[in-house]
Amino acid sequence: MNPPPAGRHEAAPEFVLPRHSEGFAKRLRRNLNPPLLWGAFIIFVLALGAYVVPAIWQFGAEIANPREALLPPSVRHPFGTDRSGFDIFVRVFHAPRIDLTIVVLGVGLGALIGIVLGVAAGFSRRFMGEFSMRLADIVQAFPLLILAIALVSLGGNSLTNVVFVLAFVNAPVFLRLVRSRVLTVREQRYIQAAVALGNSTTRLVFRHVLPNSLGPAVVQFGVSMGYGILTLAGLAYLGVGVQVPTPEWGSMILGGAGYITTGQWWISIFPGIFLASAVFAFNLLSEGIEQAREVHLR
Amino acid sequence: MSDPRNHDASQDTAAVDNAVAIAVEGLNKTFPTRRGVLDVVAAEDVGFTVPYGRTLGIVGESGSGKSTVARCILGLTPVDSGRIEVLGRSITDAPAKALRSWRSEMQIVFQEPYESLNPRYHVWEAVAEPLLLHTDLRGTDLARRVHELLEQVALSPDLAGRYPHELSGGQQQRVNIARALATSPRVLILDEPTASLDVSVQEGVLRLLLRLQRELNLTYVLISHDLKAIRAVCERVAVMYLGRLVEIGPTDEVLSNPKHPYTEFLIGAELSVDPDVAPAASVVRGEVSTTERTGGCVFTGRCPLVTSACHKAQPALTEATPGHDAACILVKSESSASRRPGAD
Repeated sequence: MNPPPAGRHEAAPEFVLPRHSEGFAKRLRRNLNPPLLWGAFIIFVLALGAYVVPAIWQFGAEIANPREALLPPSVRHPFGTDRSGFDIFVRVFHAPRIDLTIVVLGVGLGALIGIVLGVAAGFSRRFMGEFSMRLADIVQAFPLLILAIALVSLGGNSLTNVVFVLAFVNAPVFLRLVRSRVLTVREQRYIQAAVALGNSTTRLVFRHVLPNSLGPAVVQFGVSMGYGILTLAGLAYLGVGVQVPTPEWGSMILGGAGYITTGQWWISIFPGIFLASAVFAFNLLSEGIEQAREVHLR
Repeated sequence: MSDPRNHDASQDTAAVDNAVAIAVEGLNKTFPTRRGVLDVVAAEDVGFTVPYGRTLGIVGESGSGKSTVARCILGLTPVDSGRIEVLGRSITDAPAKALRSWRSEMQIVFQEPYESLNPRYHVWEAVAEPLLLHTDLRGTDLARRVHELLEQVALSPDLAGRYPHELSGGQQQRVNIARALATSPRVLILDEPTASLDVSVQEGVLRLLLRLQRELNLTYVLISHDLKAIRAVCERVAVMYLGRLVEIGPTDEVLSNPKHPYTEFLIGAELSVDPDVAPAASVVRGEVSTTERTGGCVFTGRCPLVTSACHKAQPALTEATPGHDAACILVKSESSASRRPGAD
């Protein structure tokens, strides 16, 4: 075969140019799967409802009406009202504004810190490894609520601090997961092969080690989201973070817990259903993302 | 197979014939264990040279240090002491960055075809990676080169979008070979490239390697414990035992007229193609202990011909016939025939 004339290429060779240099987003789009779609759909509906429902509903989310306290579900109040006369329907829909934002930010920050430290710890076993693992031990040995109260009393009672508490609590979880995967992956033959091919350490980490180490962390993200909402509720119960009139699932459940025995079940049940569906959606989503990432499962 | 080993030897000029592609001298490598007493000596005073365009085979049992030597040659494992030169460049004291850029000219194919491939890279990405790292080829030019490489290793371009787990063992190894050849290296280390393949596939891969060597004038180091593969591919062969080179010479001569009792044992252990021929009764007993070091010859523990002199010092490689060395104290004094066990 003669070489092609300079500056011009031969007609494209007769083979299908494969799905080369696929980015994460591209791969995701090709590997859409039911859990991923359902998870994303539920979260989308919750997020949309958080803005649409309060805008069109006749009752405000933060307006108490003591004359209509503790009413059971009716056409006027589909989910009933609580002891202060708040309309539960609008509050349940309003809640994701706080809940999802804080949890996504908090767990996301924690995951980011954990992944970065985890890769570093897995790569340099000596100093970084020991140091960050002991740090993780200390953080995890600390009782969560005492930690949260300490942090808030130091930095003031704000939602930002709640985000930091969530990040603080979650980082060690991700650190351990990623580190243990990196320790396994770095010993794989294909990592040695990648070095032999001439990869730099940076490229080795980002193109070969990290993508093969993230699986458990992706799944953990969904689980942590669920726990995050519960943590948020626990903190709100202690008066940390979310304040009373602000609608938030966890504090609504806790506020209604005492009324279940006296028959006012609706105060806790409806926020409970929404919280459970949010947790479920995040778990579906993370499982779906992991399924899409995992080439073996296709 | 006709004898393909002597392919274009006659066409080589004398200068090229003598030019050395790989030179290893006094290579030592010990893997320390925690307590220090059971340190594994993977290479001890190993030295050899490989001329351009030729193939050196390295044989030996598991744990004899073959793979360690292979990795040291490419600077993938740091050496304890010794000198390694590949294509005239010193590997042993090269800065990491220089070593990385030289990798386009020296490549390795590992024993495990599947494990050597990133499970998240499909064939196209795997083969294109070295080109992205070392060349400016992009877009259509890159696609054309990848296509050409796949053809070169007789892989259908239809497989380009497949992931490693969607390929057979032979196909995986072809991807590994294509990837290793992508940047047109001059030195290729083959670390048991056929060991984990089906027998029916092994020959195909060996033929491919021979064809590529002929076409691209590659220098090979073939590590194997399969003497058939060594016979088919290598001009010279080195025998390793417990990290030491015990014999080195032209393949035909070493395998037909071994000078070291260990080589003799290795050949005897090879099963015949004829099922009626019983394997030769071996006088060598036991297995290699990678941590055992007595001060004498490394083979004393298992050698059928051991004498008291053997325990005193490790014999150096001594020339038995021109170009054929063995590290045994019996090399000079006796001929191979009378040393054969059972001849007495």
